[in-house]
Amino acid sequence: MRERSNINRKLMAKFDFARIYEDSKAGVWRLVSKYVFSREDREDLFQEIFLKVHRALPRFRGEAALNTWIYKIAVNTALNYLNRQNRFRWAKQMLSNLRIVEDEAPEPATDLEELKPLKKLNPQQRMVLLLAEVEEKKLEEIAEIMKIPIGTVKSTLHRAREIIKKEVRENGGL
Amino acid sequence: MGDYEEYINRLKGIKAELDDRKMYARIETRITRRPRQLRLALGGVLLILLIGSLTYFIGRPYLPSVGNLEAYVFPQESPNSDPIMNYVMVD
Repeated sequence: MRERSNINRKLMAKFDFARIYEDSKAGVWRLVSKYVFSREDREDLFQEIFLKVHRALPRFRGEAALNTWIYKIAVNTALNYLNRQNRFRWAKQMLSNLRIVEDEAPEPATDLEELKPLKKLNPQQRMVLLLAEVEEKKLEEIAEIMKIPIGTVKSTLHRAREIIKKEVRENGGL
Repeated sequence: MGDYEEYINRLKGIKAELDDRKMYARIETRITRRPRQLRLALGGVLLILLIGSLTYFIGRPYLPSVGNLEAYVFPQESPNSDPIMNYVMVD
């Protein structure tokens, strides 16, 4: 009896996850595809986000809208992903300076020309800009998703816009 | 429309290809693989603990203690094994 209820719970969880994946894959992919620059990184990050969603699903209590909850996971995972990569690149650069490893850590290649200006932004600026301009989220919502004060959202967005404007101007509108 | 707005519109228009079936299959594989890895890691830790405690309890009589100081001496160094060592240990 208990075994059957366990199986049922597993099936329900699987069903829920499959449904959530279907409903949110497009939004998550849209964000991820502009946040990181290579196909490999996009696929890695996309998988990591849904693994975290799956792991966190039993703890979802419905306090926030499902969409906001998924965005929160996606944004945090994406920020951590780039921070981890930057740390790794920094360590590799240091080892290369000490001549312990041969080559210098290269910047990830961008497969889409339009994404190049975004490289000038740090991970947080990039995320705020994408959420505000591409995903068209309200500032309050961005603050909630990123767990930062609204004032920080405003100043980060302002700075990000300035950098992109300069970049676009210098490159003749790309 | 300014350069910036134009750029943002182009950014919105980017559509990177997503093979969602393949992605879902990969995610599912990683979901099922994780508990197996956890079970293996836990099993490994338990095995090490088991071997450690068995070694300790089986070898306990041979371990040095206050009542058996001779256990600090290797068998070949014990007083009755070697004349030279015997000399050293006795005197």
